[in-house]
Amino acid sequence: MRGFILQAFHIVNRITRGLAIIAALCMAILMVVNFTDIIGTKFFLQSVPGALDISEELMVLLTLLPIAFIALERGHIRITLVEEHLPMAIRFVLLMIQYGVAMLISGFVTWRVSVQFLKTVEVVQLKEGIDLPIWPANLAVVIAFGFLTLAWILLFIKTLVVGIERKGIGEG
Amino acid sequence: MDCNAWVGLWTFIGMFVFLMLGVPIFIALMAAAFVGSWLIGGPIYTFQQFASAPYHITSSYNFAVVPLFILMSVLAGNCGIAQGAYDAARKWLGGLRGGLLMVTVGAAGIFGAACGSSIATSAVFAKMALPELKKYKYDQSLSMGCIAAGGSLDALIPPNVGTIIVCILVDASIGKALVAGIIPGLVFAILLMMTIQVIGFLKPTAVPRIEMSVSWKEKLNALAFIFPVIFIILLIIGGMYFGVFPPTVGGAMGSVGVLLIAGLRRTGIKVIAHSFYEAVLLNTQLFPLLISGFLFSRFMALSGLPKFLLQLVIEANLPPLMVMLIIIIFYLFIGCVLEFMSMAVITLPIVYPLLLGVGFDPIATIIILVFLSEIALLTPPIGMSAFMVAGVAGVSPEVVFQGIIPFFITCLVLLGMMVFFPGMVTWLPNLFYGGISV
Amino acid sequence: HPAEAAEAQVIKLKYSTSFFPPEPPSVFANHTLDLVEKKTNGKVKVERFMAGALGGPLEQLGLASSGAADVISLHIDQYAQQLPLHQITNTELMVSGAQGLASVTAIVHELPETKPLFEAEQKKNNLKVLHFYVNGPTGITARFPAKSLADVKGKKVNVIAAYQREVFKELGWIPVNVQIPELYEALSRGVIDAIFMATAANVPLKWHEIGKVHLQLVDNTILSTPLAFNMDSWNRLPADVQKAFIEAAWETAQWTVEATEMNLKGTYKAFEDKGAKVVKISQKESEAFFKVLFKHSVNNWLNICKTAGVEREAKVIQKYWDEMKWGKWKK
Ligand code: NA
Ligand code: NA
Repeated sequence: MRGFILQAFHIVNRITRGLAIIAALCMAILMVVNFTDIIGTKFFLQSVPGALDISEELMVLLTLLPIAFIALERGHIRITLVEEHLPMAIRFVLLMIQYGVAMLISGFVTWRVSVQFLKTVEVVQLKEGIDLPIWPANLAVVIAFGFLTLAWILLFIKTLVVGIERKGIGEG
Repeated sequence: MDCNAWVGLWTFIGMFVFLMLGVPIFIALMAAAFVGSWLIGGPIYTFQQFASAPYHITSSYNFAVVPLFILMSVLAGNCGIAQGAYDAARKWLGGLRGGLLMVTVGAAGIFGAACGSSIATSAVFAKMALPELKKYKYDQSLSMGCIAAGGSLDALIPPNVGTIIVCILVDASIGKALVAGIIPGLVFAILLMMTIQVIGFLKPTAVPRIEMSVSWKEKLNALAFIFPVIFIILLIIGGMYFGVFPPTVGGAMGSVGVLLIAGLRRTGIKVIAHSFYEAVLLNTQLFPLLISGFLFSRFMALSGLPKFLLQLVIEANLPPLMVMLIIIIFYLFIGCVLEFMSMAVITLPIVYPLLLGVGFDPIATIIILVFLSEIALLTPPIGMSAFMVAGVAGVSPEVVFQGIIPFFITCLVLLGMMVFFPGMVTWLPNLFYGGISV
Repeated sequence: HPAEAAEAQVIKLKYSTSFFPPEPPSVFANHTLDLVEKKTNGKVKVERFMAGALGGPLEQLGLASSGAADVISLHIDQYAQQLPLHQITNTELMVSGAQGLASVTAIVHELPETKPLFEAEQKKNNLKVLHFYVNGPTGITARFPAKSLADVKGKKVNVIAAYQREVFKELGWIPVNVQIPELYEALSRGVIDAIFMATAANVPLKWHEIGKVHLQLVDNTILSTPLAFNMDSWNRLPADVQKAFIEAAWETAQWTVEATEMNLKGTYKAFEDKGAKVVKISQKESEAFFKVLFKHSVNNWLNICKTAGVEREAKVIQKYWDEMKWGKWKK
């Protein structure tokens, strides 16, 4: 069981790191697009068609793709004030509740954004300023929240297994 | 009390409990928004909101200012530009107690003239100043509090997107309101510096004076390291004031400027690539909070709780100063969780006429409201600027909230000054535009 | 208990818009909803969520289609792929407000040849669209002393929709990407030299504070932002309430003809009060301008319809619209 979880962790970690790297690339593109648009407009009287629309789509990719990686590696921002003063057993229960809630909510969002994604595919919705379809960014939202859900599930199982093992050691 | 408002209140409380239990903040907000939306709006409403909000809130050009300025500051930090500038500042002002923190406040004020987002400003200085302040033994929590509060300068020094939105909502002159923020902004910067001095007096170890003797030659040599920073600031402010680009893309221009300097200094490609990676991760720590904050705000609007509370104030028929006091408390409370735009939209149509009705000056009222919404970014449980600084520093937000306390008092002092001496707000715009109608 | 019984009978509806309260679409919607509440003697109560309190400009259609909101102000140009045929109503007509209203009402709600085409599209989106409102003309606000349209040539003007680039190219304007909330700063600092937008937006968004000249084209108008119901919410309403909504929407639409006139006068006065000039563009120059604009906007519309697979329907509508846009169509 433990080996299997570690293996799963390893794989998901690598994939989500890859997503974060894609996001970093998107940020570079965002910078270049806006810089080119400004310089082009000012000095060559030529703006980048749809620069705002491209930026908006890039914003989705660069902002959401690393969301699962953050959950696994850095942890999302949370308040630890109360938790720090609680005994281990209660902290364990709290952690299980946390991951459980996070899992359910992320799973729900994943389901809803995939419905949204299918709609954008169905009508091939485009941006206003350039004929750019919005389904790729919507797909990115699905991927991001899908992996986030997976990350919480893994963290949930890991915490559970570690907790049981610790309890076993404590009793033995 | 209306049933929906009850649900609103209890969901608010439930969210708070979740937060205290250590649930990641964005998950707590989303869960509360989910439960509340379901109870009031029903499944169809909830399904639709959670389907469309994540994409549509994120695909915003307005928000692009945040990652772009984060990128700029991470690059500036990793390429040694920020260190050079702080080293120079230390050589010149290190002997002064709290000198580096005061430099940071001043720089945040100048940067505020280049940027329209206080969250972005907090991010920039958290990234560039914190490591330096730590190096010179400044109290971490206090430094972080000061940086988060310093970000609020951005809202007072024009340009500021929030002020423009408020003016459009209440139908007031944008030009006048933007100018009106300048003097309170300068006063706020001075007040922050005074706060640093007071803290230094009470607790000298938190705000150190660096004992050293620096020769004039060293001091003059150090100035060379300030030039890159001046170049970047001139690039952003100049570009904006001379109409080369709008404020939102200042970060893109700044990033390119920093990359240019990095190129001249032969910074390795690895360092630069890693900066993009780091910037994107910082941005992602913040953004889920914005999305869930929006979802929660939408639920709050749906519940009608803010409107209900304001109605109570109107019906109570209180004297003017009492009304102002309650409005301030109201914003500090509701501003705990609502993101600025939603808060403005829900509350301003009631609050603005209410305050004008009891005799407050329109322009002063706008600046007070804008500043209140800034304070909301600093206060627990949900304070986006504090979260931003915590995210950059890699600490738990309560450490930042704790450091904010003295500067929060400073904010209240400024608020009091604007309430009792509205002239400090209205004098400059009246000088510019004449004392005619708004 | 009689009070409770009355309470139970109140029909509560949720209205949503992304427009700010001072903007015309919100003003028109409020006018209609107030009328409905009055006409039904308090039997209908509409909770109003303005300025994007429930969702941004691109989320409104989804709110109405799903039934998350009962009624919205439909920002038609945001939904080209969902409402391809309706896009035609979002192009200018070179006519007075009154005639524009008559034309669009006819083509969407009356003409036996076109009415079913629009209705089918609404049904596909689970919508029921009420009467269109007059949004008034399009104009140009410049920060330089322009005397005619020719002076805008070679100047930087904000661009939003893709097809506008074609228009600008032909007119010799330089398209610059600026989003609407940043137009104020962009014009004031000179990122752009002129704003090309609905005249009604000038005062709410404060461009009159910074423009030097407003170029007024000859009579032209856009019809926009009708109220749109979720189809199921609509069908659930008793017949008399439906009737009240239709009447209120129509009365408001007629009111928007005058309101827009008044608003225009107010806008021009606001410019003059700030020391700016309002310049009337000649009939000839205006016509030449609209010729270019129509060519590209109608082409763009046809392309959208073609992609959406409703080209044949579009051709039927275009036959009428070609007359209407020049004011040659009569009932
Ligand atoms: Na600012
Ligand atoms: Na707060």
